[in-house]
Amino acid sequence: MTTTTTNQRAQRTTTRRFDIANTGTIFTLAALACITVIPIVFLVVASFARHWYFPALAPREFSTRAWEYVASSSSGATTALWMSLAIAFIVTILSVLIALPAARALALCEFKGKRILVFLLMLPVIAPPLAATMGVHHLFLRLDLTDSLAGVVLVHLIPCVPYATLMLASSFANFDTDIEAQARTLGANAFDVWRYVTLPAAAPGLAVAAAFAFLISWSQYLTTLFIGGNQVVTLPLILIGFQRAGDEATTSALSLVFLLPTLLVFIVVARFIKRDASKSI
Amino acid sequence: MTALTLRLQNIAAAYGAQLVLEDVTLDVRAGELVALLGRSGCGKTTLLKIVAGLLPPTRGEVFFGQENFTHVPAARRGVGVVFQKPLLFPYLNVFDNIAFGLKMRGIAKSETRMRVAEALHAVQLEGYESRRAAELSGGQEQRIALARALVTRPRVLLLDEPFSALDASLRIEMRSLVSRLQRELHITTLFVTHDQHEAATLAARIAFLDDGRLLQTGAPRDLYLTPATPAVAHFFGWLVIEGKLCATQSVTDNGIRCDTALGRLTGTPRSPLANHKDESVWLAIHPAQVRIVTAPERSLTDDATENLLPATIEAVVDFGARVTYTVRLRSNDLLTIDLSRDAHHEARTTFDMDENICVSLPREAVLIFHK
Repeated sequence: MTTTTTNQRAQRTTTRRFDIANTGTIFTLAALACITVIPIVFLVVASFARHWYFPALAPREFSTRAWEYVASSSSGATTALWMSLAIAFIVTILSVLIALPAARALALCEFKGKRILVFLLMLPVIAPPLAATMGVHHLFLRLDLTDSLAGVVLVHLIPCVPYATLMLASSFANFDTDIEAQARTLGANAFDVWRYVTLPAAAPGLAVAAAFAFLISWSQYLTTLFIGGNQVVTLPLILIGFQRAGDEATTSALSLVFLLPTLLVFIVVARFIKRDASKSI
Repeated sequence: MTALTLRLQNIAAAYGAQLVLEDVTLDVRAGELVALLGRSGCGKTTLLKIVAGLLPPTRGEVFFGQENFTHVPAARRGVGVVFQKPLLFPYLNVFDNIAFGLKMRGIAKSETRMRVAEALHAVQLEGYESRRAAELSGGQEQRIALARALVTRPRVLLLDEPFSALDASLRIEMRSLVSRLQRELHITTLFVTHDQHEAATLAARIAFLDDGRLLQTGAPRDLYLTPATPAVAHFFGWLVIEGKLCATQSVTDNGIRCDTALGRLTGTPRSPLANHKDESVWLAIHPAQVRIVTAPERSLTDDATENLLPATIEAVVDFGARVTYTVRLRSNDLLTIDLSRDAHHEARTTFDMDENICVSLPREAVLIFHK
């Protein structure tokens, strides 16, 4: 009898403790969500505001002016959006193409100077972008690559390739090359081995690496400004232009436009990884 | 396809400066299964990879039948390989795994379906087509790997310790499956293993590789009873000790006397000896031919005490039908002697722990090799 009650009490205590832990987790998550979500909510409200000055908690009047302006061709936002997307796509594809063989070699082969190579790869990630871009600008001027799409793509590759390579390298680290040998004995040539064995094994890492390359290129401002020299106009460039002009509503609307693809990329990659995980079980 | 002879001629291989294989010459006859036996690191997997075309030999040639395949890439060799790990493609189901080799050869879908079904039947896993690799047990995975290798009807089948990751009972089952399929399909097979029991179970011929060199090729009983070198003897459980010839002696009754740490032993020469006094030699003692006797009376003649060594019973394991004694010799070497119940017709049939006894070595149980 007594033992039962003690047990029950003990059980109740653990349940309660568990609840407390749970509440803590929920609270933390909620706080984190607020930090992310509140500014976005604020952006949505601001993009529809007409007059919204300091002491007012909410705008007095609403309007769709900013959104209409963003959608119109006179703002240049649509062109900049397409330009940003085009550059990000090209940079993503090139980054992944360069990173794939590099990452495989980095993860699976031992060679002289490997540590130096890894350090050199990390360098663009470590070095302040401003300093690096200054040097790149000098070089690109001589090579006549400034003010061109090609130049911007190249300068975006500088931070994207190392990120993509290092990410893919970690996903190649557990890759068993014997499975490639096995495929060869079954009649697969070098191309078949890549297509049917290496690539599928690298797919989840590839998705993450591609997403990172895309997002890094997408959010480049300084490098685009320096190398593109206002001839290659991307979304961040006109966004900052409007912000400087003090057009708060348009800046907010553009910020939301700027945010959307990153969310889409995140959702697609998350789904892809999840599907892949369930597939391999 | 009729089976082909696999011929390896003077194969050498090196990793950098380190020589891994040295002048290996081996024939596997059409439809024969040869076990390539040796310790880990002896070069047997390297040899298998050279046959598969996954590694180029630094010297020597590989023939399939009359054709020189030394420089044919792995993808066009038509060998079936099963490694220790099943290495199934994780994102493909069982059907697509088995069909992989057929797909690479551009074989029609209808024929592929038929052949995959046949292969699954052969490894007794009918109906597993849509399973994923992760849903299979270790033994099933290895059987799928075998089916995947066999479905392409390979010229040569190479098995690299395919069962060593499986538990004992499964290993026995898999051995009989491979043995049956190999005989039914009459396929030239090289089976790599470090397990002498496995080699003897599967193969009519064993090729023993040690330190990159092929030391002996022959029937299992030849390797067990007449090892060609001290290294082979040691691998098959013989006790190998050093010794010196007692005197320049003519070979009488196959008996040659040597002084060793165990005392004076008379044995049979296994390799040509220079045969002069104090020549250093190796002596190999075969525990399976050793008999345990009670310690003799002091008054025995020299002749009767030939190869009679004092020893102590160190451990006794009684399996009922047979008894295993571990005895410690005077040199502190241990001998494990396996006796069936009715094997010893001595006055006593069992010995106790720590009991002082003698072991008696027939001359055939002591082989003498030049050093």
